[in-house]
Amino acid sequence: MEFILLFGFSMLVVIMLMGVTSSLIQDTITDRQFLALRDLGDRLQGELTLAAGVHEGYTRSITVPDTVEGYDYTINTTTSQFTLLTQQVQLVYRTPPLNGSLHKGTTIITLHGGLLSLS
Amino acid sequence: MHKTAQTWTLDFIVSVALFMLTLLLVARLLTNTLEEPTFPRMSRDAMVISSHLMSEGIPSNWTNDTVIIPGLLSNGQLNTTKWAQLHDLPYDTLKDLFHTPYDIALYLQNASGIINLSVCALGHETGYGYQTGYGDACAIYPPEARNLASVTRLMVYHNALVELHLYVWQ
Repeated sequence: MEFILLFGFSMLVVIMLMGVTSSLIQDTITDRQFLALRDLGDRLQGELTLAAGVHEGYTRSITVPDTVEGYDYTINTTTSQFTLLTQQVQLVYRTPPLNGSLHKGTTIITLHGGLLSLS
Repeated sequence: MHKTAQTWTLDFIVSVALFMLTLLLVARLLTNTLEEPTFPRMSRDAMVISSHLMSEGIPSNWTNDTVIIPGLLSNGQLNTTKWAQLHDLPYDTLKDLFHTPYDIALYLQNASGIINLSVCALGHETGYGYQTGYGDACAIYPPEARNLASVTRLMVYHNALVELHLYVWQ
């Protein structure tokens, strides 16, 4: 009986510690995802704002990675912003008016008629 | 000494304590290895945000509807309209525009004291405490935080130097 009680208590302690450790590791992963996504988002926003401010007919090809530091993510684009998403992190970036959408792989940015086109 | 079955309570307690200690150390080492230190990141955010604020912003004639990156200058001088517009942005929107996970607050100061351009300061209101109002009612109390990065940048307003003070903290 005593053994069962002590063993049960030790298991409880182990489970609690595993929970805390798991939470710490999850926080760290979320943190790393945030940093990785922010680096990508800053770069993409920089490309788009630069493109909107240069001469008519500007064209540039950019590569959007499939993953960021090994983390899978989703990219959604509207006419005025794009969103980078993982399960834990969501970052919204405002952009100049856009036609088309950013997608993983090669995206071509074109400035035509004062409007940025993505293809 | 009476021993019950094969288990000694004191031995068991000591072994569990050692085991917990080891497990905690391993967890701490693991998270420390994975985790980047907070302060350098906070400091980097403070520098990036202050650099944005020391620009005209994007677009240069931004409004709260069109802003992509907010900046406070126009023609190399502080634009008080932009300051007022920045104040009208909700705090969460302001943080989202700068993409920082930390709390931020900023104010302007000249040789006479804090410049009160209808508001004392922008950003997080409760974390660092400021009194809004006019004239002498404006007072700034820096946040009491474990991690705090503070940046001071110089700009021009009405042909005089003005200090932009930015706090970033967790």
